[in-house]
Amino acid sequence: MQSVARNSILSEIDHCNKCGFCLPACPTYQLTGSELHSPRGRIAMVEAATRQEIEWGQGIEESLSYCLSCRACETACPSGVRYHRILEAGRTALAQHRPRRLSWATRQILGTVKHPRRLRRLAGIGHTFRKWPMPRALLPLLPLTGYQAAVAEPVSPISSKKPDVAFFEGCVMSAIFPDANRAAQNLLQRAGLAVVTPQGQGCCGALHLHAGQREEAVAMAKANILAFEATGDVLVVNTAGGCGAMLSEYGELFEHDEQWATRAQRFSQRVRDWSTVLRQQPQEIPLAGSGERVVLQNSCHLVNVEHAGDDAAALASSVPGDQFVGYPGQDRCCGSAGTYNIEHQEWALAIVTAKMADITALRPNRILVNNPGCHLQMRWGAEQAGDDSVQVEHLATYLERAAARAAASSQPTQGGSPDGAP
Amino acid sequence: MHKQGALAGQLDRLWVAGARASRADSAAVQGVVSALNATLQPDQVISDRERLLAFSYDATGERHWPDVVVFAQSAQEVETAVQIAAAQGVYILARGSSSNLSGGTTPVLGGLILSLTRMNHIRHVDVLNRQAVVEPGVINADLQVALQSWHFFYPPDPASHRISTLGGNVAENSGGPHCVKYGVTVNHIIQLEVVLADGRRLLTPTARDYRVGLDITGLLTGSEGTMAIVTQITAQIAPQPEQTATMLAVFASVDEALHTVSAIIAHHIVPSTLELLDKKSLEIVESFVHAGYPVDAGAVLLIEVDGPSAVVQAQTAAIADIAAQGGAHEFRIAQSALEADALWKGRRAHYGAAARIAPHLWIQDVTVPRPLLAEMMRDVIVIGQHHGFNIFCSAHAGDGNLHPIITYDPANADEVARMRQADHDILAACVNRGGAITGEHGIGIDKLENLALMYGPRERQTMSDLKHAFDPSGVLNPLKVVLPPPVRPSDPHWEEPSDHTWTPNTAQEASQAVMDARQAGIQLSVGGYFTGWAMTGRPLTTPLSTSHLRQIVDFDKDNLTVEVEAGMSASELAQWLRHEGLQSPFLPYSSPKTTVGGMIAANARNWRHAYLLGWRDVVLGVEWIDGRGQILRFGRKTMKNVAGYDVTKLAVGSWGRLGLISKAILRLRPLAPQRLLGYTQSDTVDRLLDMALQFGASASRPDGVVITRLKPGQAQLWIAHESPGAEPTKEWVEGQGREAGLTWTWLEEDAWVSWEDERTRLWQQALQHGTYAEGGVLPTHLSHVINRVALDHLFIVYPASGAYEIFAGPNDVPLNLEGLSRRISEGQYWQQPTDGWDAIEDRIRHVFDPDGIFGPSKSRT
Ligand SMILES: Cc1cc2nc3c(=O)[nH]c(=O)nc-3n(C[C@H](O)[C@H](O)[C@H](O)COP(=O)(O)OP(=O)(O)OC[C@H]3O[C@@H](n4cnc5c(N)ncnc54)[C@H](O)[C@@H]3O)c2cc1C
Ligand code: SF4
Ligand code: SF4
Repeated sequence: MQSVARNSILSEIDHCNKCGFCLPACPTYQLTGSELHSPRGRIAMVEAATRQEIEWGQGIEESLSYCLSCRACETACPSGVRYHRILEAGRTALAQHRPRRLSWATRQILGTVKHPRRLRRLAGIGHTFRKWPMPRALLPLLPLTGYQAAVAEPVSPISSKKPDVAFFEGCVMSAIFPDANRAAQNLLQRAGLAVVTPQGQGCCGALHLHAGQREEAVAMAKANILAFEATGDVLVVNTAGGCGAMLSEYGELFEHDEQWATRAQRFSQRVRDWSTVLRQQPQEIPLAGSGERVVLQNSCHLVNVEHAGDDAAALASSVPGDQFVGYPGQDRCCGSAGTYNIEHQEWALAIVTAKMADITALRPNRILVNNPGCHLQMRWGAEQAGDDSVQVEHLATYLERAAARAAASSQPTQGGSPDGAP
Repeated sequence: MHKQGALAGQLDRLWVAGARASRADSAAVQGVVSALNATLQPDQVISDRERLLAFSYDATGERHWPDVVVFAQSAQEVETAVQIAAAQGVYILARGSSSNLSGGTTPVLGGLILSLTRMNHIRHVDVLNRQAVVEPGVINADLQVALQSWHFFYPPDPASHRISTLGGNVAENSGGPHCVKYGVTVNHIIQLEVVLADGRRLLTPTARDYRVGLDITGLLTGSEGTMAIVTQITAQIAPQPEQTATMLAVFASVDEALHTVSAIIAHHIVPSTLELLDKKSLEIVESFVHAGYPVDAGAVLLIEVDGPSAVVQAQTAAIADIAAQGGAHEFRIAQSALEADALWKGRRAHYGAAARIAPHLWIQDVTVPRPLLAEMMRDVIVIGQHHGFNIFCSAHAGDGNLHPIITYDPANADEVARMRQADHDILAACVNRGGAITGEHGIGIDKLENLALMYGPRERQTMSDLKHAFDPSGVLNPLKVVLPPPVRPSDPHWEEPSDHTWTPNTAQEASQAVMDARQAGIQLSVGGYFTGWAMTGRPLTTPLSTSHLRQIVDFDKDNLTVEVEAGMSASELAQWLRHEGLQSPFLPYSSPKTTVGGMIAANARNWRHAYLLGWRDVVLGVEWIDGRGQILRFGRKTMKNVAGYDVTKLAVGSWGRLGLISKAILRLRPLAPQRLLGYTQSDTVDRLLDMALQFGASASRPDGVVITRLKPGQAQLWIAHESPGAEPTKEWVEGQGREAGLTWTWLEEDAWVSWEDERTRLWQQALQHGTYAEGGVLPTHLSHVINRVALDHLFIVYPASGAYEIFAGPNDVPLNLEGLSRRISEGQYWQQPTDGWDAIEDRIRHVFDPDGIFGPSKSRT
C-alpha cells in the first residue's frame, strides 16, 4: 500500500477503539458469532495487514469478502468510524495482492446492468425458464429472474410548470421494476411535484465499485453527473436505496479528483430518496388500504448511508385501513447486498432465511421493499420459506395503489378498478 | 505453528509474569489443534495465524496472538475443549463479546480462545419463580427484550448492554446506571453451571438463602474467567416497576450537583438512576448529539425514580424541591417516554462523543464512598492538570463510581507515558479516599500491578491461593485479576502464649488467640454466644467468642454504611439504626444474643426483604482472622467493588469454618416512616402459597412475604413493607385479599418481636426435643413439600426464595424430602452433600485454615 494511503487508512482505523458496539448490528456476525466476520474484526484485519503483521492472504480475504457492505456498523458506531473507507482500502489492496476473478454470474450481471435492454431480456427469459431445470452455471442468477411488472399507467403529469424533481431511474429498477418507478413518479405528481427524467443517465455504478471495478464506476458516475447537471439544482430522486446511497457519495468517490470533486459534491447534495421527498411534501395524498397486514424490509443503504430509513417506515405505516407491523430486524440487511447473493449464496440464503423466520411469525400479507436487490432477495426468501401467501412489493407500488383506491372511492363517478390499478 | 510475533503498540506484559509464565510450546498447541479438529466441525476451530488476529484484542485495545479459537455450541463442547487444552497445558480464555475494558480476553500469553457467542439461547423464563435460565452468550439486551413481554426485567444494565454477553457480565460482575437501587450483577445471579479447569461440569450451590456449602456462585461472579468457565446462568428477574420518572437537574458546579445527591439520599429516597456529567462532558456530548443539555452548566444530574405511581409522584416532587434548594437553575421532568429517551440520549452518547474528539481514550473506573465523590473529582482534575490532560468525568453518582476519561494519541509515546502515570495517580488517590480501584470494569491485565495499592500481600496471597484452589494448574485466563506477591507472606509473628483470652477484645487479641491455639494444637469453635451451634453439626470444641467485640467502628450516615465489630448484638444494632432512620435488611428485632458476625456466618434468613438473595447482598466487606492468625480485610465501604476476587462472599455462610469474622461493613437502607406488618389466614396453605407467588410476580408486591404454620391447622401469610409506599402497598394487598376472599389483620411493629420469639422458641424446642429440618426448592415446588409434611408439623416457608423450615417430632422428616438441606434430629446431624464441590471446598478451607483448627476438612470426617 502506498504510504499516503497507508497513513490515511491507519488514521481512520485509529478512531476505532474496539468497543464492539458495532457487533450486534452486523448480519454476518449475527450469523457466525465470529469476530473474523464482524466489523471490528475486519477493521483489525485491515490494520494488521496494513502494518504487515499478517499477509494480504486468505485470512483477510475471507474476512472482507463476506462483508455485505450494508454499513449497519457505521450507524451503530459511537465513534463515527467510516468503516466503508477501511473496507474499500482493504479490498483494493487485496485485489492488488490477490487478484481474483469474479464468478461468471457476477461478471454477467456487471456487464448486463450497463445495457438495460439486455437486462430486461434476461429477467423476461428467466420468467420462462424458472420453471425448468437450470444449467448449473446459471443457477446463481435465479434470484434475479421471474418478476413480472404490472403494467403501469401514469397519472396525468404536471406539465405546465418547470420540473420540481429530476428522476433517476436506475438500471435494475428501470429494467425489472418499471412499475415501481412509475408508481413513485405518480405519487410525486399526486403530491403536486413536476417530475422530469433526464436523458443520458445510466447505472449508478454501485455494483461495480463494490466488486472492485472502480474505473467503471467512475465512468458511470461522470455520465450521471453530466446528465443531471442539465436539470439545474432540483432534487434528484430515485426509488432504490442502494443507488441512492451511491449517488449521494459521488462526492466522496471524486474527493481526490480536482476536476470533478466540486461537481460531484454538488450532485450528491441534490440526491434524495423519493420517500423523503414525498414525506416532506405538505400536500397530503389521500390513501386507503384494504385490511392488509404489511411489514417493511428497509434498504440498509437507505438507512445507514442516506439516513432516511424513517421516511420509508413513516410512509409504509401511513395507509389507513391497513396494519403496519414494525419489527426489530426491519432495518437489517436481507443478504442481497449487490452481487453478494450470487458470490456467497449460502450466507445470503442463511441471512434471508433467518429474516423470513422473523417475518413469518408476524403473518403479514405483504413485505414492502425499497431497493431492487432486496426485492429479488425477499422474493427468493419467501419462496425458500415455502410461503406463497405473502407478496413482496415495492413500497411505491403499494402506496400508489392505496392512493388510487382512495381517489376512486372519493370520485365514484369516474369509475376505475381500485384493486387492479395501477 | 508459526512463531507469533509481537504486534504494534504491544506493552511488555511478560515482566509482570516474571519467570512465572510463558506461552505454550508449539508442539502442545499443535496437539490441541489436532485433537479439536478431530472432535469439532471445521467451522468451529480457527488455528491459522492470520485469522487468529481477529481474536487478539478486547475493548482495552492491546493485541496479543492467541494460539487457537474454538466456537463452542454447547456445554459439552466447552467440557471437551477445556479437557483437550488443559491436558496439554494450553491456556484457556473464555470470550463473550470482548467488550471488557480491562484486558480480560486479551490472550497475553496466547492460548485457546473459547468463544461462547454461539451459545446464545434463552432456555427458560419463569416469572412465578422469578428467574431466567440462559446460556452465557446471550446478549444482555436480548434478555431484556425477551422479558418485556412478561413485564419483567433483569436489573443490571451496563452501558454496554446492547453488546455484552451475560457470561461476560457475570465474569466481570458488571454494574450499570440502575444498580444504585437494584444492585450489581452478583445480586441477581442465583446459580451457575460451570466447567472447571479439570473439565468437570457442575452446578454451583444456589445463592438463595437455603444454601449449604460456600457461596461459590458469589465468588465466581466477578472472577473474570480465571476460576471456571460459565456455561449456564440462572438469573433473578424482577417485575417492571409500575411507573418511572426521568428528570434532569442542571447545576452551576459539580459540588452543587453532588450536594444534591447527598441531600436526596438524606431524604431517604433511593433513586433508580443517579448519573452525573461534568462541564466538559456536557460540551462534548452536545456538540455531537444535541440532546438539549445546557452547555454553559457546570454539571447535570440525570435522575430516575421508579415504583408505585403514588410514590414516584411524591419522590419526583421532593427531588424537584431538593434540587432547587441545592441550586439547580433548571429542572426538567420528562413528560413522555420519548422525552425520557431524549434526556438519556446525552448520557448514553458520552462515551462515543468522547471517542470522536481524539483517536483514543482511556476510561477509568474508580469508586469511593459516595460522600467523597466531590473530593475525588477534584483529585482527578488536579492529577490531570499535573500531567497535562484535560480530564472529564461521568459518574454513577449514586454509587460513588467515577469514570474519568483521558483522551490521548497512541502514536505519541510521551503522551502515552503521561497517561499511564495519571492513571496510576488516580488509582492511588482513590485508594487514599478509601475507595476501590475498579467499580465495574475489573482488574484484568490492566490493573494487575495496581491491585497492590488496595490489598496487601496477605490479601493478594489469599486471593491467588483461591484461584489455585479452583485452577491448580493455572490454565484459566493467566495473568489476570491477581498475582501472588513475589514472596509468600510468612505467618504473623507469634510470641509465647501469655495471657491470651478466648474472648478477645480486639482483632489483635483474636489473632493472638488463634496463633496460640494453632501452636498448641487446640481446636477452636468460633462464635458469639453459641446459641445456634447445633446448626453447624460439629461438636463444640474450645469456644473462641466474639462477644467482646461489639463496637461500632464506623458509621457513615451519608454513605449509608456501618462498620461494626462482629460480636455486636444484631438486635441492638437494628434498634440503634432505627433511631437514625435507617435499617439493615436482615437484622432481627429480638434475640439480643444473636451477633452480627454470627448472622453473617450462618447466612441467617429473614423474610422482611424477601427478594434480596440474603446477607451476601448486604455485607460490603469483612475483616477476618484466618487459621494462621492473619488479619485480612476484604471489601470496602463502597457500593461497587470488583477489585480482585469478592472474598467477602465466602464469609457469608462460612459457619466458622474459615476463621473468625471480626468486623463487617454493612450496607444500609433508609427506613420509611410508615411501614407495614400484617397477616391473613386460611386453613389451606396452598391458597396462601398461590397468593404469595402472585405477589412475587407483581410490581406492587410488598418487600417481605412468609407463610407460617406455627399452630396446627392455622396457616398464615405474612407481609411486611419497609420501603416507601406503605399506603398504596396496603391497598393493593387488601385488594388482592378481597379477590381471594381473605381479610388482613394489620399489626403494630412490636408484633415483630413476638413473631421472631415464637420462631426462636419453636426452633430451640425442635433442636432439643424433636426434629428441625430446612431446605429449599423452586418456590412453585413449595406446595409439594408442604403436602408431604404431616398435618401436625409446624413450618415456615419463604415463598420468595423457596426456603422452608420444619419443626417436627423426633425423626419425623424423611431425608428424601425434596430440597432438604439440613436435618437435626435427636442430636443426629445430616446435611445435604455438596455434590462435586467437596474437593474445592476443602482446598478453600485449606487456604484459610491449613491446620484445620476450625474443624477437620470434610474429606477427613
Ligand atoms: C462503551 C463501553 C461501555 C461499557 N459500560 C459498562 C458499564 O456500564 N458497566 C460495566 O460493568 N461494564 C461496562 N463495560 C465493560 C464490558 O462491557 C463489561 O465488562 C461486560 O460485562 C463484558 O461482557 P463481554 O460479553 O464483552 O465479555 P468479554 O469482554 O468477552 O469477557 C470479559 C471477561 O469475562 C470472561 N468471560 C466471558 N464469558 C465468560 C464465561 N462464560 N465464563 C467465564 N468467563 C467468561 C472473559 O474471560 C473476560 O475475562 C463497557 C464497555 C464498553 C466498551
Ligand atoms: S458493512 Fe454490514 S456486513 Fe460489513 S461489517 Fe458492517 S455491518 Fe457487517
Ligand atoms: S463501534 Fe466503531 S469504534 Fe467500536 S469497534 Fe465498531 S467500528 Fe470500532
